[in-house]
Amino acid sequence: MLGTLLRGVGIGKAFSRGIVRRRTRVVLEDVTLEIGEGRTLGLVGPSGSGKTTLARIVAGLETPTAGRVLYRGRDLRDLRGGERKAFRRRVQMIFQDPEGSLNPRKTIRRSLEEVLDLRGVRGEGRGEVREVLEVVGLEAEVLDRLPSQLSGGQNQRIALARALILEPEVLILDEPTSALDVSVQAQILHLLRDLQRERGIGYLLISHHPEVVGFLADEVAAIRGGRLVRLEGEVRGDLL
Amino acid sequence: MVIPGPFGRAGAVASPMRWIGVLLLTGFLAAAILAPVISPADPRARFEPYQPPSWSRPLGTNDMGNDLLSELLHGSRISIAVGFGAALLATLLGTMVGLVAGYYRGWADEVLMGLTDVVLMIPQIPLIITLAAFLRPGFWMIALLMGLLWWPSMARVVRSRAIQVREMSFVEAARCLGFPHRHIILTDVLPNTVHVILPKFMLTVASAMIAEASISFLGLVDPTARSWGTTISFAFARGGFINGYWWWYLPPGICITLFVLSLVLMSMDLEKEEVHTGMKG
Amino acid sequence: MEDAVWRGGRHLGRIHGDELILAGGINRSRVEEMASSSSAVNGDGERRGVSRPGEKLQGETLLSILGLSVKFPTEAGTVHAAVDVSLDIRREETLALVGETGCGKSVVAASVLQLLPSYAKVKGEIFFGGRDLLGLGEREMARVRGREISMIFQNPSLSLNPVYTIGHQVAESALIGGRASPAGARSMADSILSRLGLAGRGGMYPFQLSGGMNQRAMIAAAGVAGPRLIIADEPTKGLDQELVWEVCREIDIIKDLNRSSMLLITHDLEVARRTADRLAVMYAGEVVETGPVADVLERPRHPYSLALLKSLPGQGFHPIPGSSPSAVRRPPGCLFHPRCSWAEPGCRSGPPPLRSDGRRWWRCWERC
Repeated sequence: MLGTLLRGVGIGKAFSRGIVRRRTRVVLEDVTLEIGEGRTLGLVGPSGSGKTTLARIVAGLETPTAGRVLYRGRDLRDLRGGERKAFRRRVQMIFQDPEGSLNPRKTIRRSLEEVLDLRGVRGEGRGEVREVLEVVGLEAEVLDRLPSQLSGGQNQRIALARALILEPEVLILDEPTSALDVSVQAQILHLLRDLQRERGIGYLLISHHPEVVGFLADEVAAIRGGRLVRLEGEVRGDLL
Repeated sequence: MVIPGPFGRAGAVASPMRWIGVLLLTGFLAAAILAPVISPADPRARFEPYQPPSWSRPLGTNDMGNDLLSELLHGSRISIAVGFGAALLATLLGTMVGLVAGYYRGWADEVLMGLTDVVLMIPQIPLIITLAAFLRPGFWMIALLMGLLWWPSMARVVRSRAIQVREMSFVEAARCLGFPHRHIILTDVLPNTVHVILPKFMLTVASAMIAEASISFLGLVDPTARSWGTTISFAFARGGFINGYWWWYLPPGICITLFVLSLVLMSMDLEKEEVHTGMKG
Repeated sequence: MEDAVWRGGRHLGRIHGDELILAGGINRSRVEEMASSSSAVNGDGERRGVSRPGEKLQGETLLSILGLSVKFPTEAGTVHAAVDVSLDIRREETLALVGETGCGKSVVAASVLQLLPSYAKVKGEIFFGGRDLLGLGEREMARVRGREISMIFQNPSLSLNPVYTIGHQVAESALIGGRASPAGARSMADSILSRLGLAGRGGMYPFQLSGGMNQRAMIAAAGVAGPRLIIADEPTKGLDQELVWEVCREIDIIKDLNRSSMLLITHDLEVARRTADRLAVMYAGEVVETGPVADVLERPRHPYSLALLKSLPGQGFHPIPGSSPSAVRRPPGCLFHPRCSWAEPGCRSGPPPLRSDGRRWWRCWERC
């Protein structure tokens, strides 16, 4: 069995409100999951069920109120300096709103080049921008455009390109195609599948659309009442 | 109604307001810069005093016989410099404070906003008047003073915007990619705050000019340098008003008004443009 | 009075007195051929007289969009949002206008109610109740909106006023529609809210209700004044599957209430299948295929419609290669040919001809 890249163990998240009368809402409870090399874990459930919260916790963008997230066996909270940077680089997230994840005032070229700078690549390394555009199926002419001038599908590819520049091991895909047209959805899904086959990236795929999950996932789980429920093979058809 | 498609910025509509403002402003700046060249005379040269406008002295002369047109032109340099100087300082300070407070939130926000509140509580005009009365400062001191008193309101505005921007998805995406905070603030947050800073900057210049004119009018500044406000002040003190020498006190007043108007026109237009190209939250 | 002669996706000309004046680019002999073979055949192959304003026949045309073209001047060039769009909707009929984002369908909907921004350049005619809506001034247009033609928008939370209760907003629609007194309006509002499953919630504010409930409130507001035509702009976009079906049900309820016609804008073919009678497919600003919904979805004639269907989740997610043409630089000839699997060199030569089998219309060179 290929390696486990990212694990969540006993994750819980509760939100509290109020000072005098404290009300607590438990969104996630005792969630344990694994993302393996080259494999996709699909996560389904209706809006508001906590899937996005879980995704953000696993991606290190939010801290859980209980449990831990382990990257290469190490608890995120114990990571410092260089290790923290490595985690940040290798675990990336793709958001639901493609245009929203790009700075509306930066050209595509700038948005891509700055990620290269982050990796420390300068000078001739800039050619990599064109390479990565090719990988995601875009022409060089988008480089001088702004996100508002591109379609949702194109912007989502740019978002993917930005993540790919960092050579991630794990991609957390939060409803990556929900904001896209149906025909474009098909293109993005095929792209994601090809990338996974070539590069062995592990995916956590979140979607409220069972067929989208079915297309890519090796295993599927659902969040019900804050808890993770594994769903077996054929039962997937009856997901919601 | 959402109109889909890759439209970019829809046809830029030339707004007459903006162009009037720009024209006026450019005119004033040009006059200020070229003052020594285009002045008919050295402002300190003395001619026949209390003369009404004539061909050789288009704006007449004051009580000391100085050519008023030259005085006006040279005075513009001081008034405009003080206005921009004060606004620049206030903007620099305010923007830094606003960005840090708005982006980091937490205790940095609390401390900085506390500081902002304290400075805001200081009664500004009375303080300026008092200090001016005691110190008789030069114009640069006045500009410095105003800058140090006015940065909080810029900070507030920048902070609100920074808080808005930081919630946007692309900031979160940038954090996720691992960009350091400094990079995000400078390249993601700041450029998206500029549209809020610019109008406020212009209005601050306007306020500064009026404040300077007021202080000068009260005679609280170094009397050797002549700004528009000082000219009016002398007109008042030396019998210009009583004797109806309109060529003495009207032109500087009109200049101040027009200059402030140009700034206001430009800033109103900038605000409209921001709404038009508004970003998706 | 001139009567427009139209056929499904194409404006042919006008009848003026006894004469038929053809629109530009129409082949006269072809028209005469059509005219002689079946006097005035409409888009569904039924024999009828040419539509005249004021006629109250069953199946009479309610809305007729003729040669609508919308352009936007932008810094990047002129955006052709809609090009020579012709559609018609009959009484009690639902026409679904489908296509990808950017194909122009929302622009068409906005044009009907003159809701486009002022810098849009609009050409063509939109006939409703005997008048050309595009020729109306703002005051008259304001009387049409809400009363005779109402609209359901995409994002209910943004389209409802947060400081008024939903009951108030629905009643307001009824009041403006001139159908009721203030007291009557309130009871109409309550009754329609109950019909849609929001009984007793008239006193609640939008923030107190879920997105689905707000959408129902908006649907109620659109239907309460009894409009003859309801335009629904992507009412199910971004919603979960369950909510999507609920919205479809609610839309059916509201249509039945007043026997209104509907122009449904959507990119979801399943929703179209469920709620519409006829379907029009748009691509890059043009209508490429129209026909009864079941027909088009089962046996699409235009390559784009076919490709669209194959890319659906249920059909295997087959992607359409390439991407939609830039709104500014349009390919020569058939707009879809760069991505069409059956394209031949001849497809570039010019705009493809309109074809029909009596019930359906589509544009294709069919050189394959």
